[in-house]
Amino acid sequence: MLPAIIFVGVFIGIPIIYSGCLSFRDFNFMHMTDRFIGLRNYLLIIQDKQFWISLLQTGIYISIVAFVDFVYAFGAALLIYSLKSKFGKVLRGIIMLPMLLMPVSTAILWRVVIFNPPYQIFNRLFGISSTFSILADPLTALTGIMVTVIWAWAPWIFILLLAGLESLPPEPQEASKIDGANYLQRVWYIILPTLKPVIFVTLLLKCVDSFKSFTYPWIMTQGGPGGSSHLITTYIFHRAFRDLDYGYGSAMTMFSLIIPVFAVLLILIFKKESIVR
Amino acid sequence: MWVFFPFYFLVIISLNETRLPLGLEIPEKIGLIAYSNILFGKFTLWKPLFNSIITSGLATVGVIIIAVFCGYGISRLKSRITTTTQMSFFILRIVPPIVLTIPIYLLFINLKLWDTILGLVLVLIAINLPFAVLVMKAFYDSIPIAMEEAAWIDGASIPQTLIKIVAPLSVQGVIAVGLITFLQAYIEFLLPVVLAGKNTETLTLFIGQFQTLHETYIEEMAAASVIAIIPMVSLYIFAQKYMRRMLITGTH
Repeated sequence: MLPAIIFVGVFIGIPIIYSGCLSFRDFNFMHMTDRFIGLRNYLLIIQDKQFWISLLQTGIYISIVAFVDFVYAFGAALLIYSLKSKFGKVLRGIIMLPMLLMPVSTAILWRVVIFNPPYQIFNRLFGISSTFSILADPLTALTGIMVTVIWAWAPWIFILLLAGLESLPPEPQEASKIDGANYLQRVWYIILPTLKPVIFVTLLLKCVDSFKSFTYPWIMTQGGPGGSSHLITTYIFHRAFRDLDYGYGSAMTMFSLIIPVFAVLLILIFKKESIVR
Repeated sequence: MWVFFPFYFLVIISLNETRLPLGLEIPEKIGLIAYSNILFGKFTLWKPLFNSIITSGLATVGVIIIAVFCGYGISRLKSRITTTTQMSFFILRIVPPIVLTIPIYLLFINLKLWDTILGLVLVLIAINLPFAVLVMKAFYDSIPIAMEEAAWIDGASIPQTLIKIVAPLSVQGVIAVGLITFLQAYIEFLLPVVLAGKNTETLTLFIGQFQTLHETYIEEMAAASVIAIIPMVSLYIFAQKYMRRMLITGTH
């Protein structure tokens, strides 16, 4: 146990502390500055409109992706759980396919082939004129990313939910069948409540992972056009490694460290209470 | 349809020799030029592929060695320290990697670990460790302690019990954790972007570079992606048996 604590301490703990120190400094490679400026970075963040927009967009991104993922994955899992035949197994393999592709490949594929010219498969399928590109329009760029992420990561939720479904005891469902409950009633009154803990954990993990997501937004739009698709991760990356403003970037990472940890702890505390009651 | 479409385009484009943009139709000339470019020609895939597999492999071994002992310890010893450790690992699971990139980048440049396999492996271990420990802990929780107690009563020492009783039981959990760590490390993009240079270019970076070259080399990108799938498919097939169990233990 000790080696793990030491290891994690050295490679996660020290960087976080170092980052905390950096966040009080004006440490910028572009201007070649390195001096102590106290809380100024944090004050700048409060005034930084783009930061708050990115945060808001991250919130939208997380909730929509989690919701659509869940609906799609739960539907698919339920379908396969109810089929219980060879066809179901084949279908399961098919649904899991996107997990095989590297996120980098998926992102480039969707960006270049499906959304952007010259291929623009998406536009051709839905008969949209080729001058319009989803990723190049500030209003829809984030949507394009979300569609891709849903395609790529829904299978993950799908297996988690399917595993949960298959570990459910069959007796209550049999009993309800005998009592004459129809399929929808069975799903709503028996399966959903018994699956609740699995759903809760799955969605919580999904939200945490969505908060971390970087590959898709970065490759597909790099936050553009005009910062309209910046998530918090890409914005930090942009400021730190493009503008080389490490001090400011560190200050923002402190925010992005506190928010999810706080949120998750809050949810867990809230949940514990509801269990006690 | 929804699932297949992108795959269809990936394969079709990787085989397209005309280099003209396609619609829904099959290209006029089909061939393996893109693959040969990737494997033997202009862009060589071998070094990134090798780097990716080596770093992910080493990171996996490291994670397994540490997580097995740590998970076992947390599962079997009940004290305040272990519960605190468990809780802190849970919190660390939430920490976004972007938080670590800036300080680690600056530290590694000073320590001359930037652009080395060692540096990348160490960070990959650190990032994947919290989750692995939690899964291993859940796994050991599901094994009754009775067997170990029986061994102690029969006079086995603690190291003996570990080797003779616990190790064989852990195989499943180890495979599950190893698989997930390997995949996570294999598809990691952010860390290589920051921590890898010319020497340690990983497969994700290699494919990512087509982001800027896509207009001319989309076929090569598709071919490289198809090749990148191969290690993942082989792993999934190998681990199919263990997958389900891992996921169940992982969620509880």
